[in-house]
Parts: sequence; C-alpha cells; structure tokens
Amino acid sequence: MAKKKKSKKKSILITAITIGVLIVVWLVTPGDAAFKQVNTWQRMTSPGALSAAHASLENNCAACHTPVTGAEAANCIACHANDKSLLQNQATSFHANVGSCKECHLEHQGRDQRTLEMDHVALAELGLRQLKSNDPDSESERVRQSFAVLMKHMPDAALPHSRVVREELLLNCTTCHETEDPHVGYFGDNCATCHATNRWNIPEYIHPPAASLDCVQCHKAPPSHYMPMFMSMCAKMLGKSPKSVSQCYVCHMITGWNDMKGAAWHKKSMSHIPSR
Amino acid sequence: MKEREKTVATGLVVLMLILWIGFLFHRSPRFAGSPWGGILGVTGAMLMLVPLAYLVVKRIKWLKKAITNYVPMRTLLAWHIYAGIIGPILVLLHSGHKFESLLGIALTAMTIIAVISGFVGRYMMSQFSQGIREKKAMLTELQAAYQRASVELAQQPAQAKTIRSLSGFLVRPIASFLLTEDADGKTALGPRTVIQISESIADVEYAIKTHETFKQWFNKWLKLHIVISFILYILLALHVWTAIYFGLRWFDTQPQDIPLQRALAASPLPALPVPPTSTIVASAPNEKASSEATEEFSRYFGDFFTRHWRAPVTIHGVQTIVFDYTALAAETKQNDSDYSKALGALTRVEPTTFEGDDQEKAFWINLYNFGAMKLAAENYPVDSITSPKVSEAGDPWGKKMIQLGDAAYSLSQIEKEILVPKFGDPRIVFAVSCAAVSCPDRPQYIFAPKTLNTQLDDLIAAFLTNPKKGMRLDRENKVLTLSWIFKADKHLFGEDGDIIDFVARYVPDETARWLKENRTALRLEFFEHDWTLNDIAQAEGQASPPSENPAPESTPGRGLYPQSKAVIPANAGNQ
Repeated sequence: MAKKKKSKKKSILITAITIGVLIVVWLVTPGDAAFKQVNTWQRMTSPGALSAAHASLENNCAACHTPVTGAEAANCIACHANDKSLLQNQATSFHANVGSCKECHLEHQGRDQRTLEMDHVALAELGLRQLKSNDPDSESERVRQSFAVLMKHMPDAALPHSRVVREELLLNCTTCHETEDPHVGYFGDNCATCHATNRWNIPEYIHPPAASLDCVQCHKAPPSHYMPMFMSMCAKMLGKSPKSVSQCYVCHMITGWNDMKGAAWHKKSMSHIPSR
Repeated sequence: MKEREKTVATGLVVLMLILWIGFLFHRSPRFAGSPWGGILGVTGAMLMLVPLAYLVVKRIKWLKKAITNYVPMRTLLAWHIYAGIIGPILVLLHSGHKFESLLGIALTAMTIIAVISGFVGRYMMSQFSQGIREKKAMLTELQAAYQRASVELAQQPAQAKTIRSLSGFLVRPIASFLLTEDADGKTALGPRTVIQISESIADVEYAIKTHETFKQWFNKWLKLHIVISFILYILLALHVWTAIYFGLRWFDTQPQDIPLQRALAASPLPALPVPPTSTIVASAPNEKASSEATEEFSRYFGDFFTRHWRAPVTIHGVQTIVFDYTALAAETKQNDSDYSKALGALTRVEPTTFEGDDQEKAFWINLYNFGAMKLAAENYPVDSITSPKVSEAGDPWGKKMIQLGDAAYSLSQIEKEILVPKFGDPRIVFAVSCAAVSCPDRPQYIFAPKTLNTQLDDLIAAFLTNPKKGMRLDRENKVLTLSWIFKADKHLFGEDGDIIDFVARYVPDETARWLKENRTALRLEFFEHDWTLNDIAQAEGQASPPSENPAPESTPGRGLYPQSKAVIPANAGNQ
C-alpha cells in the first residue's frame, strides 16, 4: 500500500515538472517563435503542398477555407473573377456562370501539379443543379425534368459506345470545343460517335475501308488545293493526276493526310507545308 | 479460449501491418474524403473508442460492479482487443495511404504503436512468465544432479583432485575440452559430467535473470499503453476537428448558386501577397532555365538586330541591306545593352533542350548570324570579316568565340557540324549570313521557329531577284549566273541540273519553265563574291537613309523586303 502511494506521488511530481518546464519554455521564448503561431499548427494538418501558383497562400488556410463549409467557390472567385481572357475565350467562357470550382480544380496535389482535372460529368451535374428551381412550372425546371427523364430511361444501346456516360451526353461539345474542331463542321456535331472525353481517338470507331472513294463525304480539301498550281504542279510532283480535287484517294491514304501514295514521308518535297 | 483469441488477434495485427505497408505500392489521395472513405473513417474511430470505455469501466468501481453483473470482465477485455484492432484496420483503409500532413502521419503512427503496445503487453508478457517458470523448473533439476555428483565425487579423492587442478581462473573456461570421456563406466558421474552440469546451471541462471529484467520492463507496458492511447485520442480529436473545420466533402452536393456578380459584391478582393519570383526561378529545373535562356537570347538579339537593320543601299554597285555597325559596335561595349544581354543569355543555354526541329534550326541559324555580327562589331572598324584584324590566320569562321553553356563554338562548327548534317536543308546556307555585301539580304527580323519555313523560302526568292549577287539570266547566250554560294556549297545541291531545279522553285513560273526547257543547254557561271562588310558606312552616294532614323515598320513573316514586292509574281497563281 505504501509503495502504491509512493508511485502516485512520483507520477504527480513528473506531471508537475513537465507542466512547469512547458510554462517556462513558453515564457522564455520570444512572442514570434514559430510554435506560438497558429499558422505553424494549421500547416501540420495540410494534406499536401499547394500548386506553384497558389504557393503564396500556403500559410493562409482561411484564404480558401471558410470554417466548417470548406473551400467555397466564392473564395476562388474573389481573386479569379476579373480573368478577362478566360471569360472572353469561347472555350472557357462557361466559367462565368458555372458557380463551382473544386469539382475540376483540385488543390493540395503537390507543388509541381496543375490544379486542373477536367471532369465532364461534374460539369453536366453542375448544369443540372443550376437548372433546378423551386417553381415546378418554370422553364428551367421543366428542362431539368426532361433531362432527368432522358437520363433515367435512355437505354444502354442508345449510347454510342461505352466510353461515354449519360451525363456527358447532356453536354453540347461545340459550346466549348467549336474552335478546335479540325473537321470544320464537316463531321456534324455528334462528336461522341468518334471521341470520348478522356481520350481523343477511340478504338470503337473504324474508318471506312481504304478502297472507299467517298472521302468528300467527310473530308474537305484545304484552300491550297483549289489554287491553279495545285493540279498543274503539286499533284504532278507526286506523279499523280487526279481529275478533280475531290478525288483525295488518288494521292492521300487513310493513315494520315500527309501519308501520300508513292511519296512516303518525303519531308523535303513537302517542306512548304508546315509540319503538325 | 485464450489460444483462439490470440490466433485471431495475431492475424488481425499482421493484416493491419500489411495494410499500412501498402502505401509503398498504392496511394489514393481523394479516397479519405469520399463517402466510402468517410464511412470507414467514422466507423473505425467509433471502434477505437471502445477500448477507452473498457478503461473507464475497469477504473470506476461502481460502474464495474454494475456492468459485470451482465457482462463478465473477461468478455469486456475481448471486446477491447477486437475493437482495438479492427478499428485501426478500418482507419488505415480510410487513409487511402495518403500520408501527407504531419497530423495524419502522427495519427497513423500512434494508432499502429498503440495496437502493437497492446498486443505485446497482452501476449508477449505471458510468454515471458511461461519461459521463466520452465527455466526455474530446469534449474531445480540441475541443482539436484549437481548435489548428487558432488556427494559422489567426495568419495573418490582421485577424481576430485583432477577437478581441483582445473579450478584455476584461466583453465576453467576450457576445462571440458581438457578432460577425456569418463572412461571407467562404473560411476555415472565423472569429472567431465560435473563440470558440464555446473556450466549448465550458470547458463540457466543467467537466462532467468535476463528474462526477469525483460519482465520488469514489460510490467510497465500497461502504463505505456495507456499513455500512447491518450496521445492517440488527442490526435484523433484534432483530426476530426480539422476535418470538420476545413470542410467535409461528403455533404457537398448542394448547389452553390453564386453567379459571378453577386459573389463579387459579397467578397471584396483581399490583398494578395506577391509570390517571390526569385524562388520560383531558382526552383525551376535546368531544362526550363535553358529554354528560357534560349527565348531570352532570341528576344535581345531580335531587338538589336531589328534596331540596327537598314533598308537596302548600294555598295560597290551591288544593292544590299546593311547594318549600322557604328552603333552596333558601340553597343558591344555597354554592359546593359541588348547585345550584352543576348551574350549573357547564351551562357545559360543548354544546346540539347529544344522543343522540336524548327526551334533548334532557328536557334542555330540566329546564333550563326549573331556570331558573324559579333566578329565584325567587336573588331570594328573593319572592312570585312575576312580582315586580318578579325582573324590573323584568315579564318574568321574557325574562331571559337560563342560561349554556349560551358562549350565554345565557331561559326563553321555551327554550320558544318550542326546545321547542315542535322537538317540536310540546302536553304540553310542562304540563311547563315557571312556579314558581307554578296550575301543574301536578310529580312528585318530574325528567324522564328513558327515562320522559319516561309522565312527561308522568302529569303531565297528575294535573293534570286538581285541581278548583282543572286541570279542573272542571259537568255540569248544561255548563261545563268548565280551567287557564289551555289559554288561554295555545291555538294549540297548536286549537279548543275540540280542547281537549276532548285533555282526554278524560287523564280516566276515563266522563268522556271524556260529554265527547265533549257536545262541541258544552260551554262552556269558564278558571281565574284564581295566580302565587304554590309555596313551602312560603306554605302555609295546618298542611297542610304539617315542612320539615326529607326528602321521602317513592317510586319513579321511574308513581305519583309522593300524591294522584293515584285518577287512573288502576280501571275504565279493564275496559270
């Protein structure tokens, strides 16, 4: 019994000494010591370094995080609102009313990472959310309902291929990607037939056979082919004599526009054509 | 019962350790905040609180009494053990192996240490007690044997004597080697056996002592386990608090209806700290620094090239664009001039990092032209870069005078060892300027990767319109007089016929047709090369514009030549 009492005394003594030492350390160190700053302690909870562009905010959690609600769009917009080149560019102008950031812009991924991870499904969902209205008779709510019905009842067979999900079909690709359509509208606006959001080419699309002669159904010749010298010189340089510009197959092969029959990848003879 | 519990607990602890080590192979940074990650985390944390309940029940007497009426203490301990291992397994899954923040790392470490401390205390300690019990029994047996032996030995003085002789300090350790096998067979216990018994006793006593020391240490395990667990609970509380404070992602599906204008009105722009650019540059990798230096060179060289470029004048009867070498030479002597900055940028260029062929080609061509101008400007006033003032050996092109990174290059190295062999493009020899009157006229801008192809074609087309140094066609006598360059670099073009084919690509259609028709009959001649420096000071008469006027404005790309407007013939397209 006496031993137990003694050990209890000992532990109280140890606790008292520890607390005493801590108090002394606190009093002796200067007021601006690192461990007295809230930032130092906050930083210990940081789940990864911020991207280089946001590095200056590393010590200022409150710049983006509103207590309890987290990283709010309003905090991003506070700085990024007057990005005119972003809002005036057709491809990125959707940012003006998308109203949310973190679905696609992830932070704390490391200093050398970009904060962009495009998520088309998130974009579609954001659009649906914005259509939501408390008034069931409003135009936007009716549109939303029709989309919801469409998504719910669309059979799998209606999807062009398995790389596309239903939400993505709600998006209109040309709203953002019109300027980068290399087919200049020739292939219509149903991009999902041949493309997916996470990759450009898809193996599901198979080009018509090499023997096909209807290239012009989809392909358009560049302006240079309509110049007088084209028929007289360029085509002859290859040793070919197409009857008209629409006979693409006389010179070109389906592997690529600059894979020419009989000329292989003859760089020099094509040197006036900028390489892609 | 206890055996089964031990097996299960060991299996679970091993599973937990394997799960933790998984971070070497797998990381899923976004999992912890996802709905499933959240469910795992919350469940794991709840389970981790069960051991705390056990502690409380065990310490508070009236609670213990009340509860043990329904559940025996032993069952509570089993709950403590299972919950105390399964909880950590769930939170390790919850972590998604993202060990980034100090708090997260500390929390994971304390979780694992707490589990291991509990496991060791519960199962290893009993192992030690068991071990000590067994060894003590063995010791008793050995001591009995020793007693018997010593009694027997006392009756055999001869053998006792043998042993006594081996009791010295040094002999004792090797005594059993010195003694032969107990040969007489009558008595079971010879001197050798006695020695062996005494050694065994010493060994077992030592082992018991060690085990007891360990046991004493592990007696403190319970205190250690409790201290570790308390630290763990504090860290856990901090973790939960920060997760809530900085925003949970689970409930984040509500629309945030913030049209831009309203958000702007709600939150005024905060003053942002300006990131120190110096640190960003310092942390940039070498390759980036090099490509930045390449761009910097192009910018400064481009500026000073365009600034000193002057429209065509006549020198020795030949029309040529010129440079204001007087101003240029003055610039070489200033430290903060574009010239010096271009030179400085070059020392940071790593000539292996280019983005594509065109960029590389343009860089080396510009570098050559910069070098040629450098030769003349640094030794100015000179009449020609072939002057002995530039190079006493008469070989200015072999002079290593451009420092790129840590290697020095000469002009002929750039042209003959890099540009021509690498790109095999005969147009290059027209683009590299020999800073002389007879060289092709350069546009007012330096070569840029994107427009390089057009620039090169334009340069040659314009050059061939100059009847004094580019091309002169005498149709009557069928003599084609071409620039000396075609002769000097003939190996790049091939036979005379190939030269004509090359020329035909750059001349008006009508001329081209005539050239082709008379391809075999044509005789090739070459202009005398005038090495006089294309310096505005060399100009004859008043053909030169006043040198203090800036160069005429023009757009980059096509149509750079004031006198070349007739070069691209109007009838090129309507044949």
